[in-house]
Amino acid sequence: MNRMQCLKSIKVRRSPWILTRFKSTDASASEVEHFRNLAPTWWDTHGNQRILHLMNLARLDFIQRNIRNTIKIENSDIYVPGFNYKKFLPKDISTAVQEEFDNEIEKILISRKLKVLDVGCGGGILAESMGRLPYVQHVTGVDLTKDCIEVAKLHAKKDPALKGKLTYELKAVEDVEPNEGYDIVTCFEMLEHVDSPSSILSHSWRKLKPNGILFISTINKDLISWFTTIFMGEYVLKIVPVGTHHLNKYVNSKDIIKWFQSTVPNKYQVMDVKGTMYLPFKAWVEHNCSDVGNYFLAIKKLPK
Amino acid sequence: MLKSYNTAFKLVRHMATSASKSPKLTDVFIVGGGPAGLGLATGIKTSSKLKHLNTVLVDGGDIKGKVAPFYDNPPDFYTNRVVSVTHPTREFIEDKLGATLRKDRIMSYDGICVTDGVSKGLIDMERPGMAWMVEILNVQSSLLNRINQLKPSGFNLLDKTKVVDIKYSDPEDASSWILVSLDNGETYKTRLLIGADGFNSRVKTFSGILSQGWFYNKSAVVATMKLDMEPLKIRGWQRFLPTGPIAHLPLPGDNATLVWSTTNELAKLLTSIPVEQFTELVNAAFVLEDVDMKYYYNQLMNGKMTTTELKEDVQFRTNQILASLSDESMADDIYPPPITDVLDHTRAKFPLKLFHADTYCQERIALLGDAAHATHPLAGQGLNMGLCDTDALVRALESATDRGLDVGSLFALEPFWSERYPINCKLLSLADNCHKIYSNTFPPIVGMRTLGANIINQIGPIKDYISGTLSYSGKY
Amino acid sequence: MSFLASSKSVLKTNSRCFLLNPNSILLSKHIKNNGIRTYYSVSNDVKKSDHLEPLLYGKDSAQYRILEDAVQNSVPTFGFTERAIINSINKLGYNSSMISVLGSSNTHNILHSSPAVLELLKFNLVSKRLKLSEGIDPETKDLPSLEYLLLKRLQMDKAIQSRLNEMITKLSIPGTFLAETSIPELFRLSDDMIYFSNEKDHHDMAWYSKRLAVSTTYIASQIFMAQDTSVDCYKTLEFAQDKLNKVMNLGEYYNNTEEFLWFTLMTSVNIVKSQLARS
Repeated sequence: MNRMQCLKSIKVRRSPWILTRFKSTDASASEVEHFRNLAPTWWDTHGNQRILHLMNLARLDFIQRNIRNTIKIENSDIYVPGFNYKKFLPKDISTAVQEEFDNEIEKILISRKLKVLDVGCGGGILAESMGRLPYVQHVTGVDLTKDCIEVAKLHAKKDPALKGKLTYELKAVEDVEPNEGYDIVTCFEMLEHVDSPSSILSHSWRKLKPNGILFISTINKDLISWFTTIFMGEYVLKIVPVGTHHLNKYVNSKDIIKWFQSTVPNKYQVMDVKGTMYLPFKAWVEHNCSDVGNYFLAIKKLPK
Repeated sequence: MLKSYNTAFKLVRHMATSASKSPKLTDVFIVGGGPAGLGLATGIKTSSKLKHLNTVLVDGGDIKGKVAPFYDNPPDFYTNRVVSVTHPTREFIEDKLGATLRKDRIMSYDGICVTDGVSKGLIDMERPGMAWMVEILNVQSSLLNRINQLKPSGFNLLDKTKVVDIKYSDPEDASSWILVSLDNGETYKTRLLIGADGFNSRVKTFSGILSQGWFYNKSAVVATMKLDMEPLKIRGWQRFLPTGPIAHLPLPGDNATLVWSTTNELAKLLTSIPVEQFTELVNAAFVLEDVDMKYYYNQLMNGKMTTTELKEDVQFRTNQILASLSDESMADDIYPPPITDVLDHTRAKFPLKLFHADTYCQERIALLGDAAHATHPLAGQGLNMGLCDTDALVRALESATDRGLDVGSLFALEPFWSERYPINCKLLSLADNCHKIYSNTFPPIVGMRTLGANIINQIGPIKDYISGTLSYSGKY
Repeated sequence: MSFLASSKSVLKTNSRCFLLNPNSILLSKHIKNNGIRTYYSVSNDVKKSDHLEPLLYGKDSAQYRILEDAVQNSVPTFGFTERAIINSINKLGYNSSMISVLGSSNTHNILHSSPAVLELLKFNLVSKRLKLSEGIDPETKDLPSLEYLLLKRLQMDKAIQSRLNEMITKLSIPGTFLAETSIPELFRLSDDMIYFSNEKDHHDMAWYSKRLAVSTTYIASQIFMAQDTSVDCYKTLEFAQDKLNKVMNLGEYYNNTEEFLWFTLMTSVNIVKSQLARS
């Protein structure tokens, strides 16, 4: 019985001496404590969390690309070649073609006002980046660690451009209102920190509007992941604080896709899945081996 | 919680009377209206991703009154501040920004001939369309014209205004927004402060960024020259005299521009002697031996030679040298066309130095143009480095906006530094090494460099590589 | 003045000095503390005695008078020997046991001349060095050039020109005297010449090399002077000027090279940092 099935059948326990309410989507107390300790240095871009800030750059690239891929150009005036025009057309013409439909996509995108939900927002690195995008109307960030939420709120105050665009709440994802209220739901680097990833997925899926996109990033459960993220990252190079990751909590990309197949068949579409790895001098680089190491996953909720 | 930055983020000066009005918020605050500053402002307002950024540009000079009119009403002579604009710079200005330079005042030249002032070493690099000679006012006014064309919202050009004080809005936090106070009483609170205000940059002093380098203890004399007729082959000429290189660069029609780098005493002499004597010296410097030049300097400094005497002597010696050539027509290939006149009011001098800032960016601050690096004019790369930096900064800001970053944060700015620093190092060291090799009269070194020059002259690919580096500003 | 009285004053000064000065002559830098130059550590409990450092007696002492007379008048005739000292002692009317007083601060050395002669040599160096900077206020703007001071010092030795070879030989005999007196005096002379001239202040590296440069020029000029037969030693002065110029140029090249290497180092470090910034 794999961990998914095991965790699906977990019963909710109530215990008075734990401060946080026990929900099926809860993180264990040790995880909460670990992140509480990291909260003060969350926004120190040259400190422990630098690698997270660098990953944020890669995340945004992934998100931007996938959002743009959902746009369909209706305007018949714009020429959209059905072939790889960059190889066949001379440079100036292909640049002009590219520019034209980039501009059209921008126009369509800005007219949409997207609502974003960031599950496990931590100190708000992703939430702030999403909040600054011109086509995002509002970002709601939820997390289970009180200190992280405080840090996120404090940091958001510093930039006047974010005024009114961010809300941080100390909630579990299942308490978020409304259902089917968000165009984008993101679960970045949090599935490997919770005891019941399947509950997170099912609740996040519930919050997603039809045609909305669920973005996930986590780490595959294999030897290379252990080697890079735990051995090198935590013990040898000490880029990541010790105790951040536990191999038994990692989730394979294939398992997630299988879960969707079994839970919501025909209602989902895997838009993109890309592996990503950290290289010195290049930060996070995308690659196609999504079964190994860290990965990004984008799943679209198909309309009924 | 905050990491201590190894730069001073204490205040430079407090204003005696703090602004009673609350500061105006802006995204980008550019100090300095030179080509780099104007280039950045135009770049931001042209870019679809960046044009929403509120931008303010401040300069102490009269930009609207003295620089902008150049585009429509240029003077009938060529100004003395002329630079060689290379391909990447031209692409940035004309293609990316959409600013059109006044074509009638730019000159495309097809190569450069480099000679040695002490020996017969010669490198003749031919490259059709190598670069363009453009007046700096042309660059500045065409950028201004482009901004006016765009009629951008959220853009404020404050000229004849000086910066009085710069400080962090939270003195304890080096990542807080920056407060800039101006002498017209206004205060701006900005997300990103750009220092494009030249070598003695206030922004650089505020940031505490250090520069490495030295003063050459030499000056360059510039002037606009007149030829007796338009030359057949349009090219640049540079002769490396022991005191420094003298360069003759073509301008449209029968004009040319002079950049003569020499010692401080000689520069003083050259700018003080009558224009006719100066003209003769320029002609002599390209043809005659170093001993002759030294003799002339000596005589003129002690006032022992009249203009007619100088003219005759130069003529006599030049004829001697030309007669000794195996083929008379070779004279056109080795020596630049002789000049007939120099416009006296365009004669000026400026000191030479080499400086490179350790880093171009810091949290909330970026340096552009001469504030970041200063170089010897012999390679003609100064302005090009500055505008290519501006191009890189615009791209870095675009990519940062795509990723939803705060444009003033170090994450947004660092890629610009990573991209440009090695290239600029390469160009700076090219200019400096040339200067070092050629300012020596030590016979073994002269022998080696002459041999080297002659060998390079025979090998096409190396010449192409060198002229490519110069013509593409290191992006070859 | 009776012998007893004079020796008492000498002993007093000796004992006082012994208590005050530890017997270590440091090769210390100028410490321009409020315009006061010090060779030893500046501590407030060291009283300013009236002797001329590093001599152990003042200007008005008997030793000073004897040795001054010796250097001026006896040395040209008798050379740097005890005979010259005794000649002066007798001339000034002191008791001949003064010779042991004179040599009291120097240790006996079988390789070397008598302690009194060592004192004579020391006195020669120190008094001339102090005379060089007499009347020059280091705070004024109008300081003489390094070249001027060098030539002035060389000219002071004109009187003993014929004995220069002997002097240089005696100063360079290996032993305590060389290490404790000759070389430190030479460096102090260079210090003085640089300090009282209009040479710019430099940071450490250039300071030591400049001192070395001036010292070598001075010694070379002195050796030249020893065999110079020209009128008024003009050839020595020309030689000194030329050598000083060459050595200063070398210093310039050294400075430029150092600057260039430092620039290259910093630039390389920054290139690496700029590429690391991506990661």
